[in-house]
Amino acid sequence: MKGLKIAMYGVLALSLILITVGIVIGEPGDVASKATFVCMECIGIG
Amino acid sequence: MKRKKRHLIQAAAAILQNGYLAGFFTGGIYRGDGKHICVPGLNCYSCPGALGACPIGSIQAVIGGNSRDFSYYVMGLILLFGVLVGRVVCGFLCPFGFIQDLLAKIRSPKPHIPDKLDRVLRWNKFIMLAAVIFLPMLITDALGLGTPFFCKYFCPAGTLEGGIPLVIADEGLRDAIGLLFFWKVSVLVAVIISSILIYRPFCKYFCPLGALYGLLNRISFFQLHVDNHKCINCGACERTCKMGVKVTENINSIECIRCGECRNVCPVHAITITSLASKQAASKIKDAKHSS
Repeated sequence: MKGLKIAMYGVLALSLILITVGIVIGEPGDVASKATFVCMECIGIG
Repeated sequence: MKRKKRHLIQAAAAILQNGYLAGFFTGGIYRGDGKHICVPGLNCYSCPGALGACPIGSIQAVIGGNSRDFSYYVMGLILLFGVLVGRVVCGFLCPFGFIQDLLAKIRSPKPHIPDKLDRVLRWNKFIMLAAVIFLPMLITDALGLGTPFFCKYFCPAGTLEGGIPLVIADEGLRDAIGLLFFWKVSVLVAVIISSILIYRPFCKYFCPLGALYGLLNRISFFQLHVDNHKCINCGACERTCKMGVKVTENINSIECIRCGECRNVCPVHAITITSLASKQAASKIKDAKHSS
């Protein structure tokens, strides 16, 4: 039980760290730059 | 929660994630700030209505681009959704899960998949997850760009939500249709037909996002709990579970999409929602271990 709780808080902390690192290096901008154009391959035209 | 209420939440979530209605008429897609954020479920960002980015599409696009080897932000968001609610996302928030739920309502013979085959097929979603993460890193073109393997060759959500509406609305895209489009439509048709015959085949056997959220089910804040003191072993929960979860043995299984059907049918209300963070849940789970 204790192990599960530690894992839960560990993953929570890891997720927040990853999000923060991603924001600092400008990854949301990368995501938006891809997602604001039609992905031709995704829709089957590529 | 009753099934109708869940379907209402699913419909609301699908509409909220695809609220840019103008796109369906103009054949364009939303280009606003919402696309900086990933939605929790599988929802193609090339869908004309999509207000956010698909996590699987984003992870492949970022890893496949030539500036990054790993997508910290998208992986962090997926882990955050997963550790908070696990596969509640699949049961309540994923538009493609909702579509499969509706298709399963169509009356038809529902063949039983042999248990052995079912167990083997369920591993396939983890192969898909590995492919989503590693293939765009490993297989690149001359410019160093990775192919979004899952989105390009497989994702039926992309074809249904993005490909077909855009091809209908845009004459230029209609002229560009080729073999890949027909392949993707064939995959979509296969998924639609199998969703009528089998409950959520894509979620059970193919969804990389479901695989990742499933791994986090056991350690998410949201937990289901079976009170062994109350349970009368009638088996109603396991008979009603369409995902094939052995409810009394492992209610927080990788396969549980948290639809709550088991709770609805339990005649003695032995199944409850708890949080792994609460002390009460800790003692409940401890009690359950002792009594079993």
